[in-house]
Amino acid sequence: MDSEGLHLNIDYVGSSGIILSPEQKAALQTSLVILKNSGKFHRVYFWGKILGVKDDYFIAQGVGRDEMENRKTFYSKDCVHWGLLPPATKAMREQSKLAQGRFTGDPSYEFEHTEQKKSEDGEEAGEEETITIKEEDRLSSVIAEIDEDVKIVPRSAFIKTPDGKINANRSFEGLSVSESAKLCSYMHFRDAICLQEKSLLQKANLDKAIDFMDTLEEDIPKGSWSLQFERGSGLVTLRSLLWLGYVFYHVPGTHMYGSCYVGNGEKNLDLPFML
Amino acid sequence: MSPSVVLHKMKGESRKVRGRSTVPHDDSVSEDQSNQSQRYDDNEEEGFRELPPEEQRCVNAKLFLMREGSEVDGQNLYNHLSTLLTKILVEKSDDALNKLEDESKDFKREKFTYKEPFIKDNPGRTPSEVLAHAQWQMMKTACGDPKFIPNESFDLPDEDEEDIYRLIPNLMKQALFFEQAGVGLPREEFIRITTAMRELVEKWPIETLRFWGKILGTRKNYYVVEAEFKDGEYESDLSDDEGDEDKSSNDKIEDSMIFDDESTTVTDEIKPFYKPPPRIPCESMGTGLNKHVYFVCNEPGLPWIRLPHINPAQIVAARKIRRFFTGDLGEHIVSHPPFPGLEKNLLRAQIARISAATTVSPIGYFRFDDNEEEEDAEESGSNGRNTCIIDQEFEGMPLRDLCDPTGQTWCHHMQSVLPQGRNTWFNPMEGKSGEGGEEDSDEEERNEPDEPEPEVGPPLLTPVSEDQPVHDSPAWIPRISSRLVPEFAVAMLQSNTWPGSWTFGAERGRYFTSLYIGWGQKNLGGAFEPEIPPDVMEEFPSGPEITEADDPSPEEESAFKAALADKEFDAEFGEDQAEEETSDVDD
Repeated sequence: MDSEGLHLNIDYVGSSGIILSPEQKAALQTSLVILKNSGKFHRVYFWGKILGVKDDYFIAQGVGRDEMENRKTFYSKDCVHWGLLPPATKAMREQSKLAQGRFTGDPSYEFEHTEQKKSEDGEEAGEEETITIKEEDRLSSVIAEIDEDVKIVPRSAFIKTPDGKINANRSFEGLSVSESAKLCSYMHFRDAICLQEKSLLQKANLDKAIDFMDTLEEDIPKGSWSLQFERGSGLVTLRSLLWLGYVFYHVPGTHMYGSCYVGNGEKNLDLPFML
Repeated sequence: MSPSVVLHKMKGESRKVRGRSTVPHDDSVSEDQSNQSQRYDDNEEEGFRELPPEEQRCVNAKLFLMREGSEVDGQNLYNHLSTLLTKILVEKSDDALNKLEDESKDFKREKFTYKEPFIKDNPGRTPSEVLAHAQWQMMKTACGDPKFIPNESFDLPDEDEEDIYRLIPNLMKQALFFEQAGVGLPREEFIRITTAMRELVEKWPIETLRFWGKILGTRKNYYVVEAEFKDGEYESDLSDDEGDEDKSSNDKIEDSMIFDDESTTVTDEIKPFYKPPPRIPCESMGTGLNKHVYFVCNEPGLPWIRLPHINPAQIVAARKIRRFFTGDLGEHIVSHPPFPGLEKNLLRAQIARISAATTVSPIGYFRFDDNEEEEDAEESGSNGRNTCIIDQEFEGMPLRDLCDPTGQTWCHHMQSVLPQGRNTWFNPMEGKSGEGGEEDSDEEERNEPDEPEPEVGPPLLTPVSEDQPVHDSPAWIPRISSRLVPEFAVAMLQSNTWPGSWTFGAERGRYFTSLYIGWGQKNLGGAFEPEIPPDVMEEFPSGPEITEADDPSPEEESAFKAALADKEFDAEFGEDQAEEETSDVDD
């Protein structure tokens, strides 16, 4: 969610139980402006909140003109002081999946994961290997995973210029009510995975400047998104069932949209059972 | 008609003015016109007769011009041209040729009529309008007629008067405290919910009312309100007695099918010993898990629906499955193990579990009733006390104590749910002996192992620090709501077992309440493991009568026969031999 107008836009996700206390709103309004200036970002987004045992982490992201590249993630415990998170590498992400349990709230905490290494002969006496995962790394990996899995934008909100840059579409007027009821009007904000596998016939109908991302229709399992209209048809809310706590909102007919994550930072692996 | 009349006159003129042709294409025709028109006058009364070729052409031309145009609005070329020429000749302007097309277009435009009827269909109401109407209706009834006289004082409700609307909790105060902690719903929603609750107090005999929370679903959401009925009002509650009866008849049918089915080739001595597990009856209305009645609606403004009572089988099944709610109360639940009910039963079961696990209060707010009579104490003896009352002398505790990270200052004031699915233990043996029932019941009882041990849950008013932790994290997370203004902050208690359940304590612990906003799922700590199907049932007890034996092979059979023959031979021969021997000995 854009930091400008945060105190107004946070109302849109309120029906999912996401609200900010007045104190947090006040602190965010000032500290995000400072963050934008000091980091020389084109825009700063309030990404959301990851709840921990002792404390919660507030996450913000700053982006340059090209929104898909150069994303820097910051975290804070009190909305006043922000710290830069290290970017998540593949190795870091693999390791972080081993850490279980909730975030503690202490960025220097280390999760321990013990693995029994069996020797090649299959003997029972194996070596115990303890892998430590720092909470900061785990935080960064979880945020990167959430962004890759569930961050969505409406179709035609972003345009790919012929030289490959992705810019916000200034003349985006919003989806109509009927369009916003369909899952294919929303796209994952990441490099396309399923797009290359499409047949030429399907690709013929796509507009290269707009349809350069995967739509939600190809998500597996089907039904992992809950699309609801609030206020009659005045607001459309998409909630992810894979990462419980991710909420995307859009006001049909206007260019207002945004998303927020407030949750434990745990992927819902039981999703196939629950549908 | 006037244009053609004019033309007729003009035709007359042309008779006198020679060389002036009214029919545009053929000069030869116009010359003959004068002669032929005379002839017409003569022969009018004769009727139809064949026309000479020039006249034929003239009539054809006129008919072509008079043909109806493609638009069905009375426009034809003849009229259009006659109007045009009339206008030109009347105006007699010098610029007539230049303006010819423009004037032609103007005429056409004037003649254009709108085909569609002016009465349009009313476009159907959009969903926002439907919802807005429902909510507006609700607000209209609540606020009454508008008063336009500014100085007249409003009818404020008298403080001492018994007003049913006083039962509605002060949700705005709660909203304020929840918002300070960054939890809950936007304040406008709380107002709508408060207004919607008026309908509940008007219709039902309610004693206490509480906004329980919001459960999110995949298609629609549920707003849940918890209510307690006045004493004696529970009997008027119809709920699902029909559902229970159906279930019991189903069980009976199953049992009879096993025992009385004559198509099976089972001898009388051998009977399968499958016995369905005993049905544990639900607690009577007004007690235990059924003490509270829950109402749900999809949006405030839409009518409230009462959730049915809970029975233990549903709770036991709800523990074993993990499902999202869809938002339709009548949705079927397809799961393993099969859930005995529809989505409204699952919803009720989850609400019951969440309430039992997460209703907490500061220690000291509730206490056991010391004046309880002895009989009551004996009845509830093995389970511990069932009820607690508000301690009037509770002095409150400072904020630092309320936010104690170990959680020792908060305690449960609602009984937990036993593994059986009820609040109080029900002994299935007692139920059995009472039944006259089937013939085999006596036999089964003899084979029954020892009486099952009564299940005991943690006693009421235990501190929350005693709750089972989830994996490595504690079950409850207390926190203070504000960093910038800690002097006036409130204490927040967040549940880890049921993520989404929040409780706050303010005013030194004297004002507190809980709220649930979430998906209705428990935090399992690890992955969900569905129940494995049970072992395949052994139909008959193994014994010598029914164990299969292989048929003997021919060699074995002949060997057996030979052995048998030998034995007989030996038996005979042995006697003779014995006689001989004895006789030998004598000699």
